[in-house]
Amino acid sequence: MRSITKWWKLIVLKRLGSSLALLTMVSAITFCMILLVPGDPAVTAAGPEATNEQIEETRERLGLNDNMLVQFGRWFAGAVSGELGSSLQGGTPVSQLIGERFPVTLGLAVAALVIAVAVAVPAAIIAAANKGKLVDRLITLVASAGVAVPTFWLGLMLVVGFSLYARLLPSSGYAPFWEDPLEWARFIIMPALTLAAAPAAEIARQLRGSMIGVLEQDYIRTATAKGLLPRAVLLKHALKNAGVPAMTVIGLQAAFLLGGSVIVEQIFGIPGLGALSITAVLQRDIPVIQGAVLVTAISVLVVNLLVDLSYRIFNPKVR
Amino acid sequence: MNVDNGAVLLQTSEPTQQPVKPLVSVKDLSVEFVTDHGWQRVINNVSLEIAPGKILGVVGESGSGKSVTSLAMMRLLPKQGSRIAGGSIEIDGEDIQSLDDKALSQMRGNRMAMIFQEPMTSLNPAYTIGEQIAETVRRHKRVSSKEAWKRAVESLDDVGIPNAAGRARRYPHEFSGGMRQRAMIAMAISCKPRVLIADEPTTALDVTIQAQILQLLRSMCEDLGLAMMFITHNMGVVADTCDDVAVMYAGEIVERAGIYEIFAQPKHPYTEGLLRAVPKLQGRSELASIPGTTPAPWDMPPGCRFQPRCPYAVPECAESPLPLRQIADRSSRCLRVGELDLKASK
Amino acid sequence: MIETSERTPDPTADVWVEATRRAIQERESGYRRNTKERTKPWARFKKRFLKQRAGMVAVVFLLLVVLTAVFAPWLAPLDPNKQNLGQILQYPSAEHLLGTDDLGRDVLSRLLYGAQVSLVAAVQATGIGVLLGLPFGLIAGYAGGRTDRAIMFVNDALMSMPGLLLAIAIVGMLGPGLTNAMVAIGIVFAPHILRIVRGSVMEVKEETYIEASRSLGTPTSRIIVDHVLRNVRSPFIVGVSLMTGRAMLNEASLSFLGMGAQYPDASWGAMLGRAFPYVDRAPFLIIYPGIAIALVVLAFNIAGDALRDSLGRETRKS
Repeated sequence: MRSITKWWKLIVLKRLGSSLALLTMVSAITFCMILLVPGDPAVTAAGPEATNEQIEETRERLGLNDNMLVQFGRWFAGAVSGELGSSLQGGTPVSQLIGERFPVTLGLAVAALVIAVAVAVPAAIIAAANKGKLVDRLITLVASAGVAVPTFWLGLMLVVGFSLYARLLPSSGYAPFWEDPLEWARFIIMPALTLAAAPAAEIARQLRGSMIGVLEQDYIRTATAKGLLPRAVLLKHALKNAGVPAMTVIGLQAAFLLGGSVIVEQIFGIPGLGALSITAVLQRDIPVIQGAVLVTAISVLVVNLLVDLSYRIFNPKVR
Repeated sequence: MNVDNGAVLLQTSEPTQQPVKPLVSVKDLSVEFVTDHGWQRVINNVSLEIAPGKILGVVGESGSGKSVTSLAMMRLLPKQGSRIAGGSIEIDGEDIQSLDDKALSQMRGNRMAMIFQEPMTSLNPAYTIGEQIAETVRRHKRVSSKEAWKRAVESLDDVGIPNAAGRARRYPHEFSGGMRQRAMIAMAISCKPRVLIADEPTTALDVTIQAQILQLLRSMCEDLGLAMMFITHNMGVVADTCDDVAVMYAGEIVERAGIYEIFAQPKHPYTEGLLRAVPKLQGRSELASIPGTTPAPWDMPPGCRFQPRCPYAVPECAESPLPLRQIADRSSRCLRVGELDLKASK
Repeated sequence: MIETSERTPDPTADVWVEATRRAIQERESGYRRNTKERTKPWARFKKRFLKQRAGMVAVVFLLLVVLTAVFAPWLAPLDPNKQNLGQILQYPSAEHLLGTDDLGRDVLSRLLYGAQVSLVAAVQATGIGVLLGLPFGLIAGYAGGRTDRAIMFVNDALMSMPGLLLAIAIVGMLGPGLTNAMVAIGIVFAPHILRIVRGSVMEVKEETYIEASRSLGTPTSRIIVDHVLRNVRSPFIVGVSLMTGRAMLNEASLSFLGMGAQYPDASWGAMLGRAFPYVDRAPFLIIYPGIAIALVVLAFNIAGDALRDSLGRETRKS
């Protein structure tokens, strides 16, 4: 038992190490994005009507006078200590802006993930258990459509249906969870549904596929042969084995949720990280863009790390 | 392991006597599968009986229908794409076909159990061995989970797994092939079934392990007084294990006899071919096989189904389907059974 | 075991030996037939693909969309950019089959022209992704070792960044506009293409025929071009097909946000973005472009899946 614990720690350390390396790379890429700005970033960032002095000032604030490596070193050192520069619009520190917005996005993403899993897992199990039958074909069809339908379009349709016609839910707005959870839920349900559609479809497709694969395995026949009822065979013996590939997809969807929330926040007027990024992009607020990308990428890495570690629960054989 | 060495085999020398009511009684079983060519009969009028404490060997190449027969007996055939087209299956006094799903699941693992060919894949990799056996016990016996675990460990001990209590906490991938098959057997006997079906339980194992497992099955059968159906393609394994033999070809039983009789003199050319396919002691390179392949269900030859591959075939063989004919206390489906002098070995 | 090991021939043995020989001969001739069939992968592909009804429907549908895009100037009843401020946000009528938008432009015409913009944009984005991903994928897969690790390190980092956000950030740097948006999406896709290519290169790299040509002194570049490229083809085609659909979705998202197609161009996403503020007055405006996008993306997905099944090799979606 002790050796297992030790080995387990080693794995965690190893994964942590590679995640940190990846993180460094991600921050380098984020930093290097400034190279994509055509011409002089300071001119672009300062805006079309800026005077020469304003341009100079912007150049100074972006630290563009130093050589690239020095710039990166400074940016990276700042990023490590949570210091991401300050917005070109208004001068608020980027970390403060993100600190305000990120919980909102996180709440939305978690709500969407919960919905996606809650819908996709039962759907996939039902489809797999009835492979080839009408239910299965219906679920597969809906899932295929779910992958193809543009997220924001679905959001718009929900707004039309639930806000304009049924007048059940507010079409836009937000209330912080800690102040009024019920109000938060009212505001978050449509955005979360919108955001959940594509991941739900993807998770359902994947889990259905792996469930069908697992159901053909010999040990499923063994489970039936020893007298287990179909429900137990399906939910206990098949699901646990189909869990690993499904977890991978769920991890991948986390990235989608955090990225996709950008557009959903825009539609439903939610003041999250996505709304912040869009404003920043339209205003060419480079430090804010970089900060938003970096924080989101870090969240994705953390989720993937957790997913990796969760494999152990599903499959004892995983190295 | 020569046939003449009766000690290896069994005590009863008259295997076809049936003084006790058989635990397994299959009558005229026919099974159909759906194929590209529509519904096709893959099992045709198979009848067999097994008495308590006896082992019936069912022998044939792959595709002969022996596995399908066993799956039909457990009602484990896929619900879609297959159907029992006729006949009856009675196991431990129950008409298997008339049972509803619940009653059936109460039979499976409890009164009838099955061991599969691939010990590597037949155990769930995500649960420990002990969990999987205890689960079976919990399903069928009203016991606490602690008691179920205890019984699981006992079963593992019964099948000769050393340090059973510790091993029960291990996952299947931490077991060797032979140990896994022992674990499968432990699972199968954990609820003390009356009938045990073993589908090629030793095929995936190497020779020494194979002998141990056969020995184990043999003693389980005698100790627990269960009726066992032993499916294999290897006549050598049959000689070591079984009391009676049913040889299947292309979905039909072509010969049925006691173990001594069949090895002393096969009464069907296909049996003779199988006997010749037994690996010789000298090594695997000499492994002979019956030429050709089993015909597809939609492409059955006329008359005797074996006739296209049969070295003794005469034109009359292809004329009309042959019945399984009783000859003394055994039966054969060969037209020329009276005139051929078939031999188990040269 | 029954058999003892004497080697005296016996009469019955002969019949079995003879039959065995015959069977072996039959099997060999059968094998030769099979190998002949195997030399025509294209024929096999066609046969398999034509069997897939859904895939065929998807391909035909995509062809129709392409034709629509090409012949939009002839098909469109009106000039898609012609404003008519007297007739804004009109519900569908005989004059405007799908109604008019906030500037009184004919929605049907814009939808038909939009097919052009959206398709070209999707192809552009995928093309840029291929341009960036393919060479690095080939290099990483073929070179292996340190080169591979370095490339994959950067690649993994890129892949761990949420696609849409990365694309938006890149547009933020490049500036808004359809071409810039497509470059951004191309950059986001490149790592995925790189992965597909690298994976299949690695798979075929060690196969013996490459070893053989290496020993004959063929230059490395030739080996890549001749052998590897040929084997990468199938998973690559599947990946590109699926990716084009996804590019379309992303184009729509960016255009919706105002970062892609600019006024007065009519991409489907831009139409949706334009219609959004008027959703309470003219909800019909958001229906058709959305359905158009969904159908085309679905068709690309189905075609991709069908391709995967007919090309016979498993390609991982990534």
